[in-house]
Amino acid sequence: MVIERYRRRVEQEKIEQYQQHLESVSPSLREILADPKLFGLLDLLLEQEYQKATKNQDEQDKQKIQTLREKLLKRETLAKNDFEKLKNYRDKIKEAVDASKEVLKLLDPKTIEIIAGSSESFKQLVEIIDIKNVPKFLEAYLARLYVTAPDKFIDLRGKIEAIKQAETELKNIDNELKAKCIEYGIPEPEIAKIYEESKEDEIRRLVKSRLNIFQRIYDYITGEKITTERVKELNKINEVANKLQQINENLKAIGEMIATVVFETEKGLDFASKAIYGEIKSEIGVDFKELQYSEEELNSEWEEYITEQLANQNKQWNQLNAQQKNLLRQEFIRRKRKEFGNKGGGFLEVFLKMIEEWVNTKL
Amino acid sequence: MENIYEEFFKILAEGSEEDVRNFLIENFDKFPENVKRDIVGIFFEEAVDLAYATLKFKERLLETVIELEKIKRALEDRKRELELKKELGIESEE
Repeated sequence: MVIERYRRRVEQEKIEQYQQHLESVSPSLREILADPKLFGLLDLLLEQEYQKATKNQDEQDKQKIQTLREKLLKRETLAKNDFEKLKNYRDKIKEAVDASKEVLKLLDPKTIEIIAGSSESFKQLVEIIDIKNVPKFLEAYLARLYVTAPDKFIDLRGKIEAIKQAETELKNIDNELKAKCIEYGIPEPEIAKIYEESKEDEIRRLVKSRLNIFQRIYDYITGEKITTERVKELNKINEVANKLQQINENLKAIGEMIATVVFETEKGLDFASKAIYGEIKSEIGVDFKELQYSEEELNSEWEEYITEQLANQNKQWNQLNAQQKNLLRQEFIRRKRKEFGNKGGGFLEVFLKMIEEWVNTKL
Repeated sequence: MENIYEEFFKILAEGSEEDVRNFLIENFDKFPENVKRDIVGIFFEEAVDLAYATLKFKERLLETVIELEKIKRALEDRKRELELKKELGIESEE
């Protein structure tokens, strides 16, 4: 009986040990090396370490990372310390994958619909890929964002949480705004007419002019500590009447602005939101203009790079094997990424991906 | 025929941001899976920003209207009070 109990306890311990073992929890190292998406994350982590070592002028560390990277790309035998290092990277990859999955849990079809409703470009993509496939497309992207730009990832997650939380409130806010709009002299049929007839330029012009009023009103309100203090200052009927007149005009203007901007006119919304919330405008990584790059420029950079590399190795391109060529391509991408420093996400990721694909199709 | 990446760099160099967006959407199915994921990802990020800004914008707009209404009510009361004092011949001490 005692022996049996002991045997069970030992077995239980073994099971627990196995469950805690890294390879038993997905993604295992084998899975990471076999899955291009996960391997891409590993490569990014290696790149980050490499950049850190470069910054610290740690040549030894740089060499170690480079060697490990080459071993992985060439599928060479790994040393014991390579495995130790890879286990640390694996932990970070798991963290990124888990963080990505947490965000995806927030993205049910209703939330995706609200998000897509704010952007014509994303809406079009959702129509192409189908709403149910959106999380599948985003999983690797979000994990990579977690690795390359953690602050941006946290900001994005916070915004999605806020949107999700407001799902039910949104309808109420819309209804309240609509009611205010009608209250300040814009009849409902008129609101619909404004949506239908508004042209982009007109919306921009209207929104712009209304925004100025809006901002003035907002300054007027926030400039005062307490509303009653403001009222106390006014001791003449004329002044009070003038203020009332001003308020009435502003309320009417706000009503018109709500009608013009808030409901369904995406371009107007986009403009208004960006104008008012300049401070919460997202960091898109790099400005679009920074990426206006022609194929000729890219070609000449590639030629210059490859000539230098081949001269260093005293070889011709056709003397290199597939792995050596791949290493040179990877190094070229790494240099391009380095040009943009720590900026991550946004168009830069697509831009770098295009360069990568371009390099692969060229050679 | 030019490959899709050559076309992309041509539009990137010569076109506007809108042209690049349209190109990516119109040619979405021609890209490999890894590029498709990036395209969906960047447009998603942008849409989240916009949806969040829109939400905050609406909230702030509503808050402003409510504040304005409070001021309006307080001013109306004050106006009535001053008018009444005037009618009664009471000088305002303020």
